[in-house]
Amino acid sequence: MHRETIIWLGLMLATVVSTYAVDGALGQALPTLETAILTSTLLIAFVKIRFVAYEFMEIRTAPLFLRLATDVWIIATCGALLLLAPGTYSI
Amino acid sequence: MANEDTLEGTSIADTANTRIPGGGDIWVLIGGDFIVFTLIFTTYTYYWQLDPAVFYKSSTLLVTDIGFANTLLLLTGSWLVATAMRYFRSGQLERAGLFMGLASLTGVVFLANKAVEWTHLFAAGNSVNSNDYFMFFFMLTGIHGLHVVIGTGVLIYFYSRLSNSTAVTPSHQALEGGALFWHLVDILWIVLFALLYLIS
Repeated sequence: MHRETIIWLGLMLATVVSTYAVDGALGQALPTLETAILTSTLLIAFVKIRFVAYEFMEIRTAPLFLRLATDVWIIATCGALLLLAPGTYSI
Repeated sequence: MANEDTLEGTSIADTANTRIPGGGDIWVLIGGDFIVFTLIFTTYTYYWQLDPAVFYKSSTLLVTDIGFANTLLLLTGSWLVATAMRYFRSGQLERAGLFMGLASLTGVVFLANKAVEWTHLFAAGNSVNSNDYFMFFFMLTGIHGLHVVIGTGVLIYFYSRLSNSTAVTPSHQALEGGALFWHLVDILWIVLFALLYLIS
């Protein structure tokens, strides 16, 4: 199986888990874990994004500055959304 | 000066850590798009913090399955384009064209899903004037939808060129640029799906 196919299957699986297990079933069963569910959902989304960038956009083999810029964007955007979203991290 | 043609049939590993995918110019567009969308994402989240009850109530009016299906479609589209690029680099142009064509179909189905979703929301009385949530929802998904339209058009163009043996084959750099734009569309949707459909 080609590398991009394995990555694609992993991304599809992560989407199913994030949508129906973490945000869906867990969110309904344990609403008190709202912040943990919000954090997990966002983290899964940005881990998926890193895979799309590194594997499909070929950042993995790009020059260092492009790899750094990608990681900075991912961490800064995910961090900003976590800090701004309603919940225990709110600023 | 490196000739673009010499990249065809060359493994990515051979040019590891020295070559910018798609060349430098396309990254001005992609980087600019990422910065603009980050500003809109953070503005949305700031307004969500100001009125979480309205955002929660409004987001429950969306059908998660439609957003979920669209996420799978764009992930599949990204995989098809990455596969098309592998075939192109190994000289299998017609097969590369076929995968570009299949990827463009994921864009078409995405837009059809989006049209159905918008139609239902409008029919239920929701619009950009309803509240802040729907103002952001229609604006964000509208701008993103425009990206999908452009990306789908580029993929259809690649399909038509690669599938026709008498047509001029697009350059390696042009194909990489189009592929990168399509992956950008995928990445932006991953954030939008999490923000608009799941966590709000």
